[in-house]
Amino acid sequence: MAVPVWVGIDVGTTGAKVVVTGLDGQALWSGSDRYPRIVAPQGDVAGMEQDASLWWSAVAGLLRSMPPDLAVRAVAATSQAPSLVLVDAAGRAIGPALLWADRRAQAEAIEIDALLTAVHPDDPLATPADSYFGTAKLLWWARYRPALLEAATGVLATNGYVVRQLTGVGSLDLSTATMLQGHGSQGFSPVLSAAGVPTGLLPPVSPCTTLVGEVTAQAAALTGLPVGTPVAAGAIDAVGTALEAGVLEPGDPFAEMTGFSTVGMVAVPAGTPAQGFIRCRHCFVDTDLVISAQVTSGAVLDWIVALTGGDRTVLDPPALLARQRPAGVRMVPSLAGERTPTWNASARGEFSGLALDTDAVDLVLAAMEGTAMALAVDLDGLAANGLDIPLIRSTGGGSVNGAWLQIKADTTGRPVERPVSGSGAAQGAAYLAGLAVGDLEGADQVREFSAAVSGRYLPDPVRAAAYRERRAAGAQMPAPAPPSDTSIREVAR
Amino acid sequence: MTHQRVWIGVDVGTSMAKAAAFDVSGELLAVASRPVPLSHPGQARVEQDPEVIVGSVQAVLAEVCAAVGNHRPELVALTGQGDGCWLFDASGVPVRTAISWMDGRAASILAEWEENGTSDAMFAENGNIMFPGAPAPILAWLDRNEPEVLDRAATAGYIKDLLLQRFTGVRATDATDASLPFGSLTAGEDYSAEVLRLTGLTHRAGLLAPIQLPLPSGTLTVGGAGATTLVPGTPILAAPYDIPACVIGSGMLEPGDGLLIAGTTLACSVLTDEVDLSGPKAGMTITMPQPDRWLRVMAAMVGTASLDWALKILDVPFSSLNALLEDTAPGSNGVEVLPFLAPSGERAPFVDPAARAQFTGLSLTSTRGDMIRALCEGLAYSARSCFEAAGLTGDVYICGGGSRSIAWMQIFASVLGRPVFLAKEGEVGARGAILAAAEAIGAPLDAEIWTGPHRVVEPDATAVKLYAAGYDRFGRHLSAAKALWMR
Repeated sequence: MAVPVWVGIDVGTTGAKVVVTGLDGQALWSGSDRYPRIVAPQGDVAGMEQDASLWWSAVAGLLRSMPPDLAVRAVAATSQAPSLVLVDAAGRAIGPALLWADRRAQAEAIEIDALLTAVHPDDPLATPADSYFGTAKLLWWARYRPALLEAATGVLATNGYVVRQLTGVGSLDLSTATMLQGHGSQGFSPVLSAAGVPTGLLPPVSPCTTLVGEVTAQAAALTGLPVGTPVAAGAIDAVGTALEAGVLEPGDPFAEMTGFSTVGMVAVPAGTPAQGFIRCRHCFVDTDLVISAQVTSGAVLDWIVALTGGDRTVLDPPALLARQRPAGVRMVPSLAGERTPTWNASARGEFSGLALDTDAVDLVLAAMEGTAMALAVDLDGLAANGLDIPLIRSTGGGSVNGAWLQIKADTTGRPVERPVSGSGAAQGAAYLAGLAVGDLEGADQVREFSAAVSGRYLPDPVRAAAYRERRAAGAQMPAPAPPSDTSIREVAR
Repeated sequence: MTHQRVWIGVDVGTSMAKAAAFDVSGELLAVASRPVPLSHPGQARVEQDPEVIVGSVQAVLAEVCAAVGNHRPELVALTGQGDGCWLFDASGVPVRTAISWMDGRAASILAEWEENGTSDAMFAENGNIMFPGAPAPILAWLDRNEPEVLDRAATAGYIKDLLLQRFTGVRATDATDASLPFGSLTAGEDYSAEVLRLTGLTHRAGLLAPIQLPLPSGTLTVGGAGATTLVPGTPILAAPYDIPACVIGSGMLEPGDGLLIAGTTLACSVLTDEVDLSGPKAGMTITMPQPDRWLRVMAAMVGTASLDWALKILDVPFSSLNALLEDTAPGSNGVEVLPFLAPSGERAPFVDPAARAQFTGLSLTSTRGDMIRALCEGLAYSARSCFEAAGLTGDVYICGGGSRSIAWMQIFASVLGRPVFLAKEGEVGARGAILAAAEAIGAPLDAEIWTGPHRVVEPDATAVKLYAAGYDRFGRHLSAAKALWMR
């Protein structure tokens, strides 16, 4: 007899993952596949692109390799966000997708912010003026890639693109929509379209758990899913992570997911302002997620490993924890600009305190401390918004490394726990499918799935005090390194 | 068979003793070398066994004589590492293991001198900034902690003084070694009584060997010949120590010219005909053997050791260095480096034991090439700041192991905004020692032939412009970082 399951998909920055989950919340099967991203297209270091067709081929391939004899109740997809791609009437990508980390539309973001501020001064829910919040990329396309925009009939977010391939229906989920610059409870501010921002290309908005369509015959042939399988609108990956980590309603713990980036999240009543942070609607419509985000964290470790010759043993926890901490070598891990809480798109990474006896393990330790320090600074910022975080739940690939979790506990001065499940956003996406199809009735049932903990890391009081001191000293630092201004690049040209 | 005339130079570095034989036109005929060990008998202590060094020098002399088939050279010129403290009795027998210039035990004495103004007063007297491995702090430390050892010694000198005494029985030192720390700025003048008073070492003045001009010299004694296989009676001279010897050996002649020794550390020297101590209080002032010539030396701690570190941690073989530098654009795609990797910080052109290295402007797209090139650029900026402090106005010569990387030399040329002249390869220090010694015995050699021709590396006009902006940013990074170094 076929086993009833929910299928969760997560379309990340570095790869896609599919998790098949039974109705008891346990993952029965998972598969993942990686795809490349194009860093610095045409030599522009601010750019980051991806071929959207690779998202779909990876997802379709994973779905095809699911075990037989499953009765798929519903499918939901979460994704990197907000990454956007232009599509034609048949749902085919027009040009490369512009990833969330693409910073080329920074000037447009500032321009849009000025337009919005003129109409809604002092809006406590306004997003920071940063191209990360998607909308500026629409204006950038209009200005710098008009031919692509001309050929397009719509714009889709990453998860929306996958939903489009599965169902033939264009949709934009509410969690993604609420992240876009200038998007409010009444949709996009009309001043944007009046100013030439093509917001009309975005499809209608649906709450994350709305079933927006069914698997078409064409998609069924490519994926092996039965024709007619219901598909939910889906959500940004943070919603998937929140579902998987038990961050469901106000009062639930803070969770962070570390992969390429580190995304932290806490549930608050809908409409709660959180200055300097990202806010989006949860899949529960009266709840928002307040999100902290560091652009590069796991990516920093991969970069160091590649740079130092590819030996991954430098990540071994015992060797890392045997070193003195706080360490003498320090790192600012902002290898692709920063988001919360500083929103400095031109921030760059640095190593300091280097000496001839510094080795690759020291560099990794500095990266782990630096990313943990950035997390601590985010927690300080949440506290300044009245959101106190007593405990951290760590998920994602980064939570596998126990040394990193211990460093996070010591640096933030909070206990860190790793939930048992740990299949990441894709597993949360499966729960989202369960909620959408009505198999799950609400938050309480989902919370039970994530109750078990596989590891707990307590802060060492002496180290925690030393890290706190270092953080306080950092706050008082004189403006440190001069920013990488453009003058030197201009001279170079 | 015509008997070929040969000249031999001995260079005792920190880690290697070498002897090199040249013909009359300065062609290198043979080199012999032996590693000389350093010992680390405790925290911050670095010592060398003088008997091992004497033995090694005898051995390399024997090897090089055998190689050229001549045991009666025109002369043997001695050069080597400066500083440190080499204590021996009246017959040249060491009374203690030597304390290296890298030793740090006297750091606390130096800190006292910094505190009570002694260091400033010494700089005003002879233009020298002290460091823990200079003879004055070491002697002050020994005077407090091992006075009986000083009581047993006849001489507190330098490595080549010890060798000269063993080979010839002559007790003397040369003007360059004597310059720091007790020297006077006038060649031919005795040690500065003021510096001795300031350092509280007046009662030990007898340990300092007399300064002999133009160079200390003698002839090899029967007893001194020992295992050298040299014929007794061979003229032996103590030439200027390694930095000034390299200045002479590279062919640098005019006041205002500079020499960069791109070795483990970067020593930047500028020849001058007048001493101006109104600039930054840093570096050394070396009195040269000829009248009215001094060297302002800024010996940075950074150098090829920093580069070796980066190549090792980034898993890049030295053989790929040139290609890597050539494949990466000037400016290293925004990566910028302060190269102060030495565990003891930096000493020129500023003194700060807490100085540490940093890499900034890193992004996910930064490559090994960017990091290595940025470090090479940072080292070149360091050299520029040293040369500026030392008063460079003329040409720049470069010698040392680093000069084998032409791509790196190209960076130096563009950062310094002028062509750089690469010293003729092969034992530049020994070559310079021989030139000085031949001059001193009144049988000078043709310096132009001995040191030329130079390979010239021209600056790149576009890079010069870029590096002018980069150097300004280097200065701004440095001021920002200084506030953050942990003390």
